[in-house]
Amino acid sequence: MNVTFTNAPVDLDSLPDYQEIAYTKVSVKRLYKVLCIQGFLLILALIGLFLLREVTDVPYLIPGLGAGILLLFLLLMAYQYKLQGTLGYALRERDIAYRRGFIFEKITIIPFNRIQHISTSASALDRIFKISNLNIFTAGGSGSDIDIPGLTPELAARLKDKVANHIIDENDA
Amino acid sequence: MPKAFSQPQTQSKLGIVFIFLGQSVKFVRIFGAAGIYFILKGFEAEARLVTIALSILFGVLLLLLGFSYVSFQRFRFHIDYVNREFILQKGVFNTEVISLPFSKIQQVYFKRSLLQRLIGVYSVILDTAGSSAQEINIKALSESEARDLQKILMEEVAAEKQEETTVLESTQEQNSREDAVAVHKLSVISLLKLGLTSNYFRGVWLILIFLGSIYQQAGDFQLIEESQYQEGIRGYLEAYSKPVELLVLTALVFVGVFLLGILISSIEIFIKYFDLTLRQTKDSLELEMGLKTNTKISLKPRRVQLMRIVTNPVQKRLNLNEAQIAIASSRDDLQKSQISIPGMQRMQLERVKKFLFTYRMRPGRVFKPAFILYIRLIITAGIPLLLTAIVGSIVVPNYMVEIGLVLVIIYGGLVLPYQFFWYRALSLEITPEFVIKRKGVWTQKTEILELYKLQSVTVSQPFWYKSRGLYNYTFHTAGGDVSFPVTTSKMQRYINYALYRVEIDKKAWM
Repeated sequence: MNVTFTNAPVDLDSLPDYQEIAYTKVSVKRLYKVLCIQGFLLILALIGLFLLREVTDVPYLIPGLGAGILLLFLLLMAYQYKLQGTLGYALRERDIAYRRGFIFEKITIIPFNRIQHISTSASALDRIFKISNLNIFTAGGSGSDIDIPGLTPELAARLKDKVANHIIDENDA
Repeated sequence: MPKAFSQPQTQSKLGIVFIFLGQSVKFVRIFGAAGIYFILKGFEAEARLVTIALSILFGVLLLLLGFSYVSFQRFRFHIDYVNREFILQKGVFNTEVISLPFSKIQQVYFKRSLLQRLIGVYSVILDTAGSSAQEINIKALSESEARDLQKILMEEVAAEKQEETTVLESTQEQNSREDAVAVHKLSVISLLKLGLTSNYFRGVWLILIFLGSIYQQAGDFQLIEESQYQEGIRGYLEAYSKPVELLVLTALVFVGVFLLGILISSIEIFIKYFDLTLRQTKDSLELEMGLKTNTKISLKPRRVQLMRIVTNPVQKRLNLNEAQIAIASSRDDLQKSQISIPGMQRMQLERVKKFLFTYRMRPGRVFKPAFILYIRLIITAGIPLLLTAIVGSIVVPNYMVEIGLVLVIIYGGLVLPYQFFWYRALSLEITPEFVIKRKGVWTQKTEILELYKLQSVTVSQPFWYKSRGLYNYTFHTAGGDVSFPVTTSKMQRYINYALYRVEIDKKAWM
């Protein structure tokens, strides 16, 4: 085990830089799915508003609320649109990186030899849109786990196998 | 002959019954109240309504049965002997495929709930080092299947572990040249010293909670006297309305509470850490303590994920340091899996560190947060004061000048310097083998983690830091996270190094 422990100085500049990783974007179907949910909620809210109109007669309440709701949903949709562009993952030889967030850009990097287990999951809606999620778990609590959404099922399964094989390789070495 | 469990298979047929009953119980829990209401009312209602209700109930039961059947059919598990992992597929609406490598399985055990006993099935649980939500639970296996599965998995896991143990033993040998000796013993005098110098706020806080509950109790009993009581307070306030008297009185109360706080803290420490001894054996540290309940803990270097050393200026003078050690746990609540060893001298501390850590400490590069953090700190600390001022200006507009003055004094005299010292004390050192974070003005904390025990790294950046090139860094370990705010992008090279350090490492991290 002392083979790995040498005192030779490591040249920091020669190490692969995680900032230079090219990220693969997730499928735009994820955005469609989220917009679909938001559209549905918007319709529900508008129906609620319509019913509210029958029972109150406070002046300007309905137009005000309506404008507020529309603005809120527009903002939410714009946020999701911007967020979509930032979602990306990258596989390197020895680790996997996941980038997300538009207001807070966050990059989590998990070395393959620290992965506990992997799963792919898909909700009913995900299956309608033909996408699925890749979930990678470590022992470091929820903060260090990653969930990559919006992958085609084939890709998710392939990524899962690839990462799983890496875990095996690490252990055999 | 194919190996057992190598083909995807369902649970025992009884599983359908188990799922169905489980779902029915859930259903009854949700709609039970409505059902009871209907039964009570139902007899008075028309016969037609009763038949409708009964047919609805029947329909729901049929749906549940169908759901249970699909759920049972979809829940399939098998062992992939080639890739050496356990694979589980499940879910009716939300589907999930989980693969769990043999090497990551910590335990395989059985569990039975009352319902499972009634039906005669077993839960087989595969436990990993992650949080409890991540374990795999196969809920309905017959006894023979459960035993077979456990046996096969345990054999495979053991085979996997065998390869690793050779590596492990050499680490331990290296660490345990010294023989079993008492490293640290806490005498009564040290206990007293500790009590007198520890954090009193905890004691004060306990008093406040105690008083709060008493006040509530009293309030419950003496509802009638409340108006009288308020009258009393008003009279009291009038009697002491002169500012000087009020000030002296408040000061006295504060001193009293403070002294009581010290007393309570001391007693708590005395009970908790009475007769604490730390012994070092060949491959672990044995900790024993407690007056009321005797706690015994065995600490293996391999399990240690994160170490925190806590002290304050007075304790530093007396050479008292508290070591808090977080070990790898399968719980989300990391606070609970933390072990505290108070009252250690620096020499003993060094010894414990030397024993628990695989590598020697060498100096590294020290990072400080950017100055903008101080600005952010004083702005957030100013918000409560600003709110007080706003509330004050509404409630007592006449005293605006006085209130403003007091607030400005508090802010300029306490908040600004405190936050400045806090900001200045914050630093992160990355050495070839360690990450060391230092923080705290009065209570000084040093968090140490070995690089090779890292689980993952998160780097985050709000968009308003983009132009400045500042980032927040979080190091995740199985014993908790260490995060460091607003630092230059220069740290990124060290993140690359940390990842490299983890990825080249072949040692078991727990």
